[in-house]
Amino acid sequence: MPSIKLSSSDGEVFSVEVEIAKQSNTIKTMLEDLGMDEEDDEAVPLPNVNAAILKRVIQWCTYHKDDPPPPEDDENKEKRTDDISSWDADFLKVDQGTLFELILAANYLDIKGLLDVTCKTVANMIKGKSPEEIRKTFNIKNDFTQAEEDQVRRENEWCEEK
Amino acid sequence: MVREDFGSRSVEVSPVQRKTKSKYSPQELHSKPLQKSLENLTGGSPSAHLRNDYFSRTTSTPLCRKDLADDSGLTDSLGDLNLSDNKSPECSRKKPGTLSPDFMPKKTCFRRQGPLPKFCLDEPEFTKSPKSSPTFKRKFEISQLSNRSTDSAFHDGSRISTELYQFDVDDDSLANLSDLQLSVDTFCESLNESLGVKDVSFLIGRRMGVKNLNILDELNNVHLNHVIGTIFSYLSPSDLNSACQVCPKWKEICKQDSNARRRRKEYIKKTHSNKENSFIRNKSRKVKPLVVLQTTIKERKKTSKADRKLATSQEFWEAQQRLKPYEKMTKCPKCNGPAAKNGVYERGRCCRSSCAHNFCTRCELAFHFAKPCSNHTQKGSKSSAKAFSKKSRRLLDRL
Repeated sequence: MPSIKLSSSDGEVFSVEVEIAKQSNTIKTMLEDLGMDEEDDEAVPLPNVNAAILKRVIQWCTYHKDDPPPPEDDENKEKRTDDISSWDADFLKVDQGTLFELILAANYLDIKGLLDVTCKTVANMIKGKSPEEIRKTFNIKNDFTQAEEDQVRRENEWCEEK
Repeated sequence: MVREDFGSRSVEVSPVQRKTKSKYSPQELHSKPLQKSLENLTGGSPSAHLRNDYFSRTTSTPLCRKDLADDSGLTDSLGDLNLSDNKSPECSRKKPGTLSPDFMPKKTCFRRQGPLPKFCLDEPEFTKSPKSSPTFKRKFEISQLSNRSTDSAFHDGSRISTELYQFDVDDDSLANLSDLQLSVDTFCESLNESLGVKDVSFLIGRRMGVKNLNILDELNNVHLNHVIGTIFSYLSPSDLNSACQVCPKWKEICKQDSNARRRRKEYIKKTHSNKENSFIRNKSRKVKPLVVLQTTIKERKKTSKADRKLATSQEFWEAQQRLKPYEKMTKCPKCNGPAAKNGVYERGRCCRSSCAHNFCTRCELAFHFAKPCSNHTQKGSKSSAKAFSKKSRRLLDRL
């Protein structure tokens, strides 16, 4: 199996199989554009990603290397969020900081599967909760002014079940 | 200890909010000798403006003029920043990581113009000081380490490290940890940014270990609107509605995403109409004194008529501006809007996109290409009602 080296922002070098690395469209495009040189031992620099997060991303990609490409989704329709595999669910049992960084990394490396599953996880954190519960989940301060709050209440006057 | 290589960037110091223990008065700091020495030091005109807002608090030793003057290094000790939040050993985790010089784009080190983002430390965050809670000191020091040579200075990159001076561990403190980390992170970030080192903010993986994070807000800050859109697409309209009620920023974010906004509006509309009392509510709104009703209706009619006239003339005028040289203005037989008439083909086209009627200018029916107009619908036949016809009789009756 041919492999390439990825170097993180803090200089750590990871040796990854090409097939695994190609799940990232960014790397795939780069390899296609620049061509793969077997003898070339130079690591691909990923100056935006640090070693810790890159390690996790590679971990995810390694597990999902045999996955079929995700189907094209159509807009407008509300999508399911309960179809996260148990491995992914375990993988994403992390603090919110790491989850956020995984989203950023998936977006930067253009890994659709990872981006989808992380977005689903965030959506699940919001789903079915009241505003107050959401605030608690993300530790957000309720900084609506009185006027704004009144407006919000008026907007939702007929929405709340009483 | 935050160490920053300024390289040979010139630094303009404006100690706006410098407080208390400053060795030098602002005037002194701003004085020409300093600037001159800076310019000598860098051999160029000031390109990087180091606005010192972020040094404003707890500055014990401001920019040492001597250091600058004798070329030995630019040292600004931010003093001991008393972070009175609680902490734990995890705090000693290196904050923004160490940047290797390899990926430091030279440009970002150097070209930093215009006003810098003003950095304000969250005042209450740092000042709320329960006396019992252990205090912890963090020393930020910016010092010029690099050699002076102009060439190599840009290649130096920057090195950032955080040093913990003293801390005690408290079990209750873990809850506040993420808050503290975040504020220290933001502080370092702003420091770097204002010093022209932008890269740290693009580094992915800095916030690992932060327990609670306002993910949507952070995504919005880095302009990943498509990711936010994806997250919203997984939410039901009712979830979107409650997300809007979380805080003003989330509301703003929801409003920015067109898809989410549309779905939420539909949801609100639907729920309104589904309510049993909506009918009563709507009806009760309409009950008004008759006089009021009459006058308002009258006024509305008047204004609306005038408005409509004005709007139509405006529409015609605008359509006129858009006419091609071989076209003439005419009226659409269907919607009475402006239409463009092509004299050669005797073909008219309504300018209103909602109508877009394509008609023959002679018979005012749908355009029929080269075929001749059918006789009885020729222009003018409409208005000339024949004698004894039903229409003329009706007209007579009215007299």
